[in-house]
Amino acid sequence: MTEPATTALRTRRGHRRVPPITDLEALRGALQTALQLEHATIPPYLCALYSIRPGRNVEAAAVIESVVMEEMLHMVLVANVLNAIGAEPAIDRPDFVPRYPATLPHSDGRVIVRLQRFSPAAVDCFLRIERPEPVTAPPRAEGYHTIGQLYAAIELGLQVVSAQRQIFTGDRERQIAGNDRVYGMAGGPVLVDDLASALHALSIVVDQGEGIDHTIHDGDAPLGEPPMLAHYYRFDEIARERHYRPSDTPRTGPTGPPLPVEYDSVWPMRTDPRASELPPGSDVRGMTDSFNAVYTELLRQLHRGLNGEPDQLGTAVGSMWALRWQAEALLRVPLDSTGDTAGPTFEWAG
Amino acid sequence: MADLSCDVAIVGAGISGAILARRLAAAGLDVVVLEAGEATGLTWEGYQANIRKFLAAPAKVPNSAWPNSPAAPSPNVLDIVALTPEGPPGTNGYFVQTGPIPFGSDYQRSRGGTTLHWYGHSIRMLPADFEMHTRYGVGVDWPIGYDDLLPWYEAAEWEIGVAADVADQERIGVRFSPGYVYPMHRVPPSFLDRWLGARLDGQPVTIGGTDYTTGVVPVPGGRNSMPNAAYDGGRGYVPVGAVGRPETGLRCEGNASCIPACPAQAKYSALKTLDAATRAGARILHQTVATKVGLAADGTVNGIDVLQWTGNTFPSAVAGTIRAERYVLAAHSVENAKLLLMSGAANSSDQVGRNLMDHPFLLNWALVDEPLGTFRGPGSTSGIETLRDGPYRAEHSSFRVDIDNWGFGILGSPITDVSDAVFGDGLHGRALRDRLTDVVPRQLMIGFLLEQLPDPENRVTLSPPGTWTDALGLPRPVIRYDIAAYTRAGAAAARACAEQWFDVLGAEDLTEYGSGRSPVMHQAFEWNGRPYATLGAGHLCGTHRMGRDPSTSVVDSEQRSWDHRNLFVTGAGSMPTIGTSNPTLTLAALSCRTAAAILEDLA
Amino acid sequence: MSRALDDFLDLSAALTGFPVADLQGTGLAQTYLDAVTAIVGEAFAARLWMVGHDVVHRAGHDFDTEIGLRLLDDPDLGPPARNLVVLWYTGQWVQLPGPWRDRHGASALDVDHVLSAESYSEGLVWTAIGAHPQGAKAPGFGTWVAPPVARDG
Repeated sequence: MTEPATTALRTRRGHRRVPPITDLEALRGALQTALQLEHATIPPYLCALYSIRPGRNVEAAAVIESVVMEEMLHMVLVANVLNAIGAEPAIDRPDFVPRYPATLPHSDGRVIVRLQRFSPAAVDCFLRIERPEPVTAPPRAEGYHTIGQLYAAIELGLQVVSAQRQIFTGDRERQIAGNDRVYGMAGGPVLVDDLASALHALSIVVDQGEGIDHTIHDGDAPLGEPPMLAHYYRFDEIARERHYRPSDTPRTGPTGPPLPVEYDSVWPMRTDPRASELPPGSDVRGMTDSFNAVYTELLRQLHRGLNGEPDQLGTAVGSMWALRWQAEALLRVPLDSTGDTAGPTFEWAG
Repeated sequence: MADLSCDVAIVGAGISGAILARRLAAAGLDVVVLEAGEATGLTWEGYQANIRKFLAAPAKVPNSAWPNSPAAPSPNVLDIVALTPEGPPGTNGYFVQTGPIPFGSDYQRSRGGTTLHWYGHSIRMLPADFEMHTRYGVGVDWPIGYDDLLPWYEAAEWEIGVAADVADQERIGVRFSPGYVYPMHRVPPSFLDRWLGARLDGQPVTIGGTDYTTGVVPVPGGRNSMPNAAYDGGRGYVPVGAVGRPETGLRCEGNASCIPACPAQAKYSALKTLDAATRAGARILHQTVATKVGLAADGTVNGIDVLQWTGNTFPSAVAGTIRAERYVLAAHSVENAKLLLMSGAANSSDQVGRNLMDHPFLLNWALVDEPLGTFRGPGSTSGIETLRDGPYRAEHSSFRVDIDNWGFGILGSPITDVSDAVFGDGLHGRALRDRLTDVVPRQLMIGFLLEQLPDPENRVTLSPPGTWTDALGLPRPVIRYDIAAYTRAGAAAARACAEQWFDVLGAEDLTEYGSGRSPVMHQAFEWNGRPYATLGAGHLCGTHRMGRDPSTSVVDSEQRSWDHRNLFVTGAGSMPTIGTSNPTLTLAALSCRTAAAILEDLA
Repeated sequence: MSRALDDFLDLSAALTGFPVADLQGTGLAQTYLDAVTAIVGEAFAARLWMVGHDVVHRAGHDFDTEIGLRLLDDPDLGPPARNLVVLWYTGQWVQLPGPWRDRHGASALDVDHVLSAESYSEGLVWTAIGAHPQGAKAPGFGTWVAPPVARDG
């Protein structure tokens, strides 16, 4: 892991700009945006993952699954920073949930994320989500183009605001630390109690997404294993149907063995489904409503889990598994004579 | 194959061989493991192929997920047939069974051994279990006591990764080192455990006219749970995930299929220890069947002859010899005995193959009047553990009682509920669905593990030349087995306990022995004119027992052969009595202890 | 969707007590239609689906009784229809009774078998009992602590 910058007022990419965030309220707002952003990527990833037929696209499915697991870690990390600065992560409310097709929250609106089957379009969408921040892109909390810009703005904001006053006043007990409740992924939650630990937590989020220092790696290297690829390059392996080698770079692209992809071995989910488009009283509407009830319950469990009731994260695990099996059933139900199938709609059912 | 030399040659890549291989290789010794069966589960994908095999198997018996090789056959419970006193032996499958009661247990011969399909219970023996002769005048004492094994239990609990709470075990008389905690917190007890605990825990139960206390106690499990931060003096414990996919299986996912297979590898199997052993430098040769322990003129072992085979239907084999400084037979109770008998080795006591013991498993089943949430979670998360020791052990076997989370699954539910309702009762549609919704979640199954005493006539021998052989021409094991009065009386006492508990619960007792209700209870017998039927528990013990006296035991307390001092024979076969716990943890502890003895020996 | 698949699903829903969408949600409807057709033969299968269609669409409120009379109690149609119920609930095909095999010619495919790992995992019995297939569709760590919920409406 790279050392977080703690002294100089600069992002890790070297920006020296007018910081877009200068007060605590704006900082909290930007972190809440980040929390929503991390969550907003998960339903599209899950649609692609669950649309893959059993036993097919094994490697691609493993890639998507690994990214989803880390997105959940990212939610926990961002929530820890929010809790550290005395804010409350807000998850259990309708506007936390994107209405797909959606733009990323508070972004420049140029990346459209959709709920769609595993397909070239879906993989292209994932690449746009995880795209590394260009060296020249300024930090932005509003109207950002890449996720890196948003996090760069938050990193700067943390430095500015924490220099003005003590902001790490939150109750530590509200944070998730250690690997007890969050497991099955590279790295674990970081307890945040000062600027350095806050920047460290956020650096994990950014590095796992887009890579460190403009390499393809995310900085994690489990003992005895090759270094982990950042999300962007993991998806790039699928897009180019070829593995990266450890020595590859963003410029070389993947030069390793082929990664076979079969876009036909997928349930033909209709893009961006909505419960309201299904006939009231129909069986498939019932299945969809039932899915959304569990999804909403999951968001409530996550909210409580990240707001001082960590045991709720354990309960949420059961909801996540239940959602998977319900989504898989929906994906096999044909909607009409087109052969398109239903799919999970990920809507708030309040 | 080319002959090989190494420091330590180990026969068998099950849990005992795996632990020895890992510990000896980690200490820098050159270790070769000879595994008779196939290499399965080397990768995540390879392991999953076994899972799909079991899901598609019509009969989901323990071995259904795993390879069965004609060159290294495994016994299968599907091969068991009823035996008659004067009738011919049962020769289906691998065992040749002469009865009078069929032996009811299987084991698995492939990489990982029987831990591929064990339940996961990782229970220490009670201090009294080591002293049956002294305390109750039955059986024999062990040459070591509980306190001798205590540090090795701790080592085994690390090797397996056991999830349990010390306080639960202290309640039933298990002693621990000061401040000890298990690697992981206990696996959360099921809803059924709590339901039953609320009604039965603390209730008196009468055995032979005396009142005892019913205690519903969580069972230590070799399955990943929440790590205990206080473990190892506060250094904590990191759960070990699946081989080839370490981020998976870090917690039990509740697949409810511990037997025949844990799809997530959250439940321990020796595949994990073998993986670590390989990383430490041990070499594991698969499809390599040990055929003879070679003896030198001075009585030491000078090599192990093997046949390395290929081809599953019509295997062909090449011969070779492995030479080492020390030899370990860790091939399983029956296979160790078979190999020693084939070699004419280690048997000056005439005890090799004798004293075969199992825990005859007595099922009791009933319907209660509310849903229990059956078929969720690990097979069993609690037991009734307070009756494992008591003065009645002078008269009859004691028992530990499994509370089964899977309803009548062992009898074939819920598949049989469907066929009974459709073919038997003619149900269909909503009525069928409602019947299943109503009945299956109310199924309550408790099973009693009954002790057997060592009996020299319960034994493994070799099929005579020219009779029954496997595909390599090696003799098949002949099993002579009976269930003696001590255990039959225990079955009657167990049954009486179940009846009392079902009364307290207001449960509708459906238990019926000898009615043909289930094809799994092959071991029918009578006691005081009443019929009983048990099945095997897979706990094969006693065939090369340890002792203090070379004339009545095969190995000493370090599992070293009395006859050949560079030979160790390890596993549950070394256990002089079977005790009241599922034997895997104990045999793992014995293996850790023997690894230390070998290291000291070679130092 | 083919006419045969429609009829097959309608009949299957009536026989199992599960809505068509739940049956489709297994992803195995076409597989089961093909398997049963292969075992009993196309002509017999066509008759089965035809009678099924008739019963489901014309009988009105007492179609359960009609199914009994015209399908399950029929010496020809009954055994395959009952097998179809068991197939949906367990993923297993059970060999048809001897007399039926004798009358209709035994298919080599008519043997006891689980169609596939998926057919076992998608068995309706697991939904009916409020559980999940043993060995698949895991519910997650610690979920077995919660009281059983009557998930099956």
